[in-house]
Amino acid sequence: MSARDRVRLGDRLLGFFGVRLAIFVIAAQAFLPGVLLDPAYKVAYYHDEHHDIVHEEAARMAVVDDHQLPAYNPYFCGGIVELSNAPSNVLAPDFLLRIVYGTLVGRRLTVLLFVLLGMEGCFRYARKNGASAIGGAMAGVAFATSGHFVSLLGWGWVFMFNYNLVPWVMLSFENGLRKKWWIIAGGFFLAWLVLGGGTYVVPYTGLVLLLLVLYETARAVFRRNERVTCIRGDEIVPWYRPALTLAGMGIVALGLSAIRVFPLIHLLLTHSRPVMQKDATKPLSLLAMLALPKEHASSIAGAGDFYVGLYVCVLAVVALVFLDKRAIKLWAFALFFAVLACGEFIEHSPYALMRKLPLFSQLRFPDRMATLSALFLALAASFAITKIEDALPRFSDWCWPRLRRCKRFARRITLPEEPWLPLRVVVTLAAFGVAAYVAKISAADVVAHNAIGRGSLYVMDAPQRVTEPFQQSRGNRWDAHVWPFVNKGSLHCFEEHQLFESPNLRGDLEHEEYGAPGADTTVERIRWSPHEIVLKVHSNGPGRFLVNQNHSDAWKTDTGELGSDGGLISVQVPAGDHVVTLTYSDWRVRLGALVTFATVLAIAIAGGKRLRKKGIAFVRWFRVLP
Amino acid sequence: MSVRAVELFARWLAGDRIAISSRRMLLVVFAISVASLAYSIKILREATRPLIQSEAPPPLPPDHGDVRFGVPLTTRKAVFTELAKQEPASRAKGHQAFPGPELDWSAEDHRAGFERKSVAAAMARHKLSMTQVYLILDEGIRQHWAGPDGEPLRPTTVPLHPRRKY
Repeated sequence: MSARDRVRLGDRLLGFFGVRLAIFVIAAQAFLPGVLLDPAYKVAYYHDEHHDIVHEEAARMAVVDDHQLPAYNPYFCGGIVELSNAPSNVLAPDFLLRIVYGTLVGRRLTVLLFVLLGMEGCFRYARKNGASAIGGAMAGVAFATSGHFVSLLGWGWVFMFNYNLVPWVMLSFENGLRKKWWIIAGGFFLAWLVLGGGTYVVPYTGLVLLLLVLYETARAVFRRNERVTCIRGDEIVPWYRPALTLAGMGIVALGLSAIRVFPLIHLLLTHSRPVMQKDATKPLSLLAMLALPKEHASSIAGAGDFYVGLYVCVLAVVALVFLDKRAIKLWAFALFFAVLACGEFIEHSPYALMRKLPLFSQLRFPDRMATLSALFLALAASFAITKIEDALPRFSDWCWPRLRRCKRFARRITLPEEPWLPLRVVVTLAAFGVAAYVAKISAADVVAHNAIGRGSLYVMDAPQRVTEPFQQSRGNRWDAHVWPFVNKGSLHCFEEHQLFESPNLRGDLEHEEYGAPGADTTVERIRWSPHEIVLKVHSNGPGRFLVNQNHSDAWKTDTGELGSDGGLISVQVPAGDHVVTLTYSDWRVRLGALVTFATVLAIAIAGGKRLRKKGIAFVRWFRVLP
Repeated sequence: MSVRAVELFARWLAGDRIAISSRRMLLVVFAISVASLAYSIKILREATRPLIQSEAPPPLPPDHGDVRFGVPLTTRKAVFTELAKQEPASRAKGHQAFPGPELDWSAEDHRAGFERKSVAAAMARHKLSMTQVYLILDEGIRQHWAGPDGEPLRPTTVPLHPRRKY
């Protein structure tokens, strides 16, 4: 048996999910002491964290306190869309952590979840492509703890940690070329990205998938005449299969995320996201961002912003020098995103051309694409570790037959065809030790340089709760996190999209629902929740009342007629006493919910059947074992 | 441990492909899987314990007498006066940095940025939390307490109009 046919010790040990999870948790702990150990209810200083907390806390309260789907957020800008807001993540699977543990603790746990997911996703993708487990684990740790995630945390953009799902999407796509259930998995991860507010990550992932489709299609076309032994699920697929796999993933993703996609499309088509800025990064600066730690930021602008490790970059170069085919593919992808990340650094740059596409025209800061360069560099580096791990056993295999043929030895001792078992054990242990050591120092370098220290991030005191009826206040978006906790909306706000806000909203009203000027109408609040307001209305003659929230077509009334008065909700009621219920209900959300539910149901039924089959097959196999 | 088991283990260590050929072997693999998973879950729980077990900050005390949000009226008035005093200058700076009706929202946003600093100063001076200071500002606006020019502070804001470039 040659070294090629043998299983590496690292592959055996890290093949146990528990073993690598333990390693990943230890790495994540070293990366996130500030997140895991700082007081749980403190918040970061940067205002974007405060905006995100408003959205997430408003959605959490709607779900937990009022058992409503968080389609609308009355706590910001006088009432705006929530689940169809571009960066909203209120229906992402990770939002469950906010539901269970509260917004502030849930956000920190989400960070940990994504870091672990990123590590495991990279590991699996590297393994799928033939890297050793030690190499894959190193790639996982290097990517999930790379520099951009530190910046994301500083800005409070926890929803953008879903970059860590990109390796899962890639893995699902490549496996989906041959196994249909992976297409569904790919659709699930894509849907997670869409539901998770992937303003940037979704289009970037689209580019990654486009590259993979081109690569796999070219591979299928150029290798169709080859005869390939199928031992690792690497048999050639028809040329159209990559595009078909992508289409399948897209359909599943659309089905699962329809509840957000339908209203989101409406928002994107009807509300502009004004962007007019040119960004450029010099290629050398980009290299410094990826390969030099933050300590050099004073001499090279941006150094360390996407730091994925100097050793990791060197290892990626080593893999390229060895002309490892898989590393070449990953390098090509890394360079593709690096060129785009440089933005408009020259006239007619690729990024400038890309921005002519509809969705990409609304994006800024192309340097964020360096995150994907970091991912592909880390993955390429895993193949250098693999080479290192394989070098000693291969050298041993190369030496042994020569030793057998050596006359001096042959006279004294007859050597078996295979190297002695103890020798093979020693060689395997040595190879494992060297590879593990190189992987450890490479990964530790990234973690040590990017680690979020205690007391460095969460420096602001926790917002305190006050139980009072909901009111709009003038507010202040710079400290927006304060308002939902005191059950007040902040009229002063910020959104990337030009969402409607009425100029007639006020932060000094005694009652948020009141008779319109000139109308003989009195209003008393019976019950208030974000999506349903129940009022007792008395009107002497045909009357009208106003609600201190932005008007939207999704607001409906069960009595009278609902319209807009200067952008405020205005309801015309007939004379007499009425109990009026105002409901926020968007037909696009309802239709999307129906499609999402049908897709989940279909997948659950098919998944149940498949599990049953697998269970039966396992029991049969177990019975035949002695 | 039998010699065969040791040899099997050595072959496993050396990288030989060993198929699961008995229920006992399957149980060993299963036991290792479960044990390693249990260990990883244990350290995961330890890592998240400080977050999960920490207590949420207590809510502000209920109002009584002239005390609201845990702050007596005289302090609230003093805090509001300090904040209100800064507002005309903040507004002027906002309009200076972002002149013209097209940039009205940006000017207001700039003013709010200065307000944030005033709030932080008031927190430090009066040893109050951020929530308390903002609630005092909100109360003053809602109750139309007089600002430095004798007029109440503006209770409205400029509708959202994000810039095209930041």
